[in-house]
This record gives sequence, C-alpha cells and structure tokens, in this order.
Amino acid sequence: MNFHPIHGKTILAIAIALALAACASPPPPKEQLAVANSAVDQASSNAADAPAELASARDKLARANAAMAAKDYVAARQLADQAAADAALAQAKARSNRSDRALGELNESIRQLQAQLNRPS
Amino acid sequence: MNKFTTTLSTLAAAALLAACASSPTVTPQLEQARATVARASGDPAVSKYAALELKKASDSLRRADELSVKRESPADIDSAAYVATQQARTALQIAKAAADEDAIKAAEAERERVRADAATNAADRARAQAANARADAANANAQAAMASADANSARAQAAAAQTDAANAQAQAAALQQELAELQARQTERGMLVTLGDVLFEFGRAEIKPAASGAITKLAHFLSQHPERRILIEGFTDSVGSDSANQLLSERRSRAIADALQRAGIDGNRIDVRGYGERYPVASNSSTSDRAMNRRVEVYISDNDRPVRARG
Repeated sequence: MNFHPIHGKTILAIAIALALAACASPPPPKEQLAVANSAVDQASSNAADAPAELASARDKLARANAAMAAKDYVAARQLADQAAADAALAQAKARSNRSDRALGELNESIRQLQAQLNRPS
Repeated sequence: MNKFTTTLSTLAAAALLAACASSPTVTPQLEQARATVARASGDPAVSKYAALELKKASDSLRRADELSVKRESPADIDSAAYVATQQARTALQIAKAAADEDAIKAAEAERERVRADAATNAADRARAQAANARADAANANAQAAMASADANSARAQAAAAQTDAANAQAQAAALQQELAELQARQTERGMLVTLGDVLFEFGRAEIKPAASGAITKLAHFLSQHPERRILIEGFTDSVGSDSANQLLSERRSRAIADALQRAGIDGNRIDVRGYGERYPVASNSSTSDRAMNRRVEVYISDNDRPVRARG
C-alpha cells in the first residue's frame, strides 16, 4: 500500500470534516421546552383528574430543564417532547373522565325520572 | 484521483448496502407505539373526533420508524416511540370524551323529554284529581239537595201531621162543645141527650117552638158526624092508661125523628122506640118527679153501629 501525500491530505480533510460533524451538537431545544412548559401549565390547571399522567409530565419537564442546564440538548429535547405528550394525554384523560362521569350522572337522573314517571302515583 | 474517487464510491456503496442489509432496530417501546397507533387508527371515533391527534401520533411513529431503520440508539427510538404512544392514547381519550359529550347532549335532550313527560303526567294527574274533586262535589251537592228535599218533605209531613193533630183536636173540641151545648152525657150505650117534657105540649106529641134550638143543634151535630146513628126513646109518667102512655111515648119519639129528618138527617140513621111509663127516672109521687119521667132520650152511637136497645 503506497502512501501518497495527496491522499493523506484528503483523508485528513475528511477526518476533520467528520470530526466537526460529530462534534456539532444539536441546538438547544428552546422551542420544545416552551411547548412542554405551556402544555404542563395547562394540564396543571385542568388535568387534576389524571394525576399519574400529570406527575409524569412534570417529572419529565423538570428533567428536561436539568438536561438543558447540563447542555445535554439531545436528552433535553427528548424529555421535553415526552413531557408535552404526557401533558396532552393528562388533559385528554381528564376531559374523558369528566365527560364519563357527567354522562353517568345524567343517565342516572334520567333513570330516576323515568322510575318516577312509571311509578303509579 | 479518479481511482481514489472510485474507491470512495465503492466504499460508500458498500456502506449503504451494509446498512440496507442489516435489519432495523425494533424495541418493545416501538412495538407498543405501533400497536397503540394502529388501535387509534382503527377506531372510527378517533377519525371522527381526534383526526389531528391521530396525525400527530402517526407522524411521531414514522419518525420512530425512521430512527429504527437508521439503527439509531434504542434511547432515541424509544423516546420517539413513547411520544407516539402517548399521542395515540391522547387521540383515543379525546375521541372517547367527544363521543361522551355527544352522548351527553343526546341524554340532556332525553332528560328534557322525560321531564316534559313527567310534567304532562303531573298535569294529567292534577286534572284527573280536579275532575274527581268536581265529581265528588257534585255528588255531595246532589246528596245535600236530596237531604234537603227529604228534610223539607219531613217538615211538610210534620206540619201536615201537626195540622191533622190540630184538626183532630179542633174537631174533638168542637164535638165536646156541641155535646156540652146539648147537655149530653156519656153512657155505656153512647152519648145521651135528654129532651125534657117542657118541649112538648101537655098530652100531645107536637114539639114546642122552644125545642127547635135543641133539635137544630142535634141535627147539626149529626150532619158533622155522618157515621153516627141515633136511637130515640120516648117515656111518660104513670098518669093515664098504659096504652095511652105507650102510644104517646112512641109519637113523641116519632116527632123528634121527623124533626131531625126535616133538618136533613137521613131516616135510615134513626131508630125510634116508645116505652110508655116504663123505665122511670124518678118516683112519680110528686109533680116535679113526674115531670122528670116525661122525657125523650136520644142516644148517639159512639161509632157507626146502631145503638143497642134496652133490655
């Protein structure tokens, strides 16, 4: 195998480029964190009915902030996305719990009304 | 240079082939994400109510699949898969909530309908009760009217009975009065009215005008009591022959009967007897006693039977 200076330069250039590419860490996921923050805020105000999902969302948001502080932007972005997804699920679940209860109560009141109606006065 | 380029190209192609040949990295989290997204996609309620959330989940799952194909780290794949899973769950929950909310609207309408039915029923019941109450009141009125009519009729009967009693009393009083005027007295054969000797001419059977008052009263009494019958008995004192006295007593009785008939009394109600000097009421030894024996006795029956004769 012959060693050519040109080849060596080229390889060096490629190596540098690769190294740069590898070192180039992703930008700080500010936008994702903002989205996650707002989602967790909303869920805090209207998703008390889904405490497990809400707790998970808060935990992940905290960890995302910690990762952000540690400049671990990859983890920060992943945790922020997960926190936002958890918060959205918490809200949806809370809404579904509410509607489920309301429907149950409504059907019960209809049943009572009908029972009253059918009772021989 | 060309040779080097060729070498690089060959290397790159080999690398690509190698990448393609190797199977993608599939984690349990990714499998769960695929299953959850598939479940959401297959739910008609999700496509109806949560199409946006389903699209987000599908997009996240596609990213996770891309990472899987690129054989990125399982942590990267899992994160994207987790997000896809949560988004699919969110879609399912939103669809369920929205379906519930539609059902709530329908149930509220149903409740209003049932309430309206209940109100209608209550109104019907109230109307029926009012009608019953009216019917009861009408019955009560009718009964009261009947009771009132009964009371009126009872009062009328009582009044009539009082009137009858008063009439009877008045009649009894009138009878007593009439009999008192005739100086009648009760005997076992009936009421006895004695017409004295002074009402006849001496030894004759003609009635003096002075007797007309007594005759008139007697006739009046008999016309007021048409059921009663009378027996007229004539008597003399012991002066004169028996046969003359017998004849005289009969004639005097007859004369009274004729006078009564002239006053309108039916002769069929009258019986006549003469007893001469028999049945004296006094001794015949003095003028005044003999006057008492010269008499006509009129017996008035207590009922519609003939007065029983003497002996």
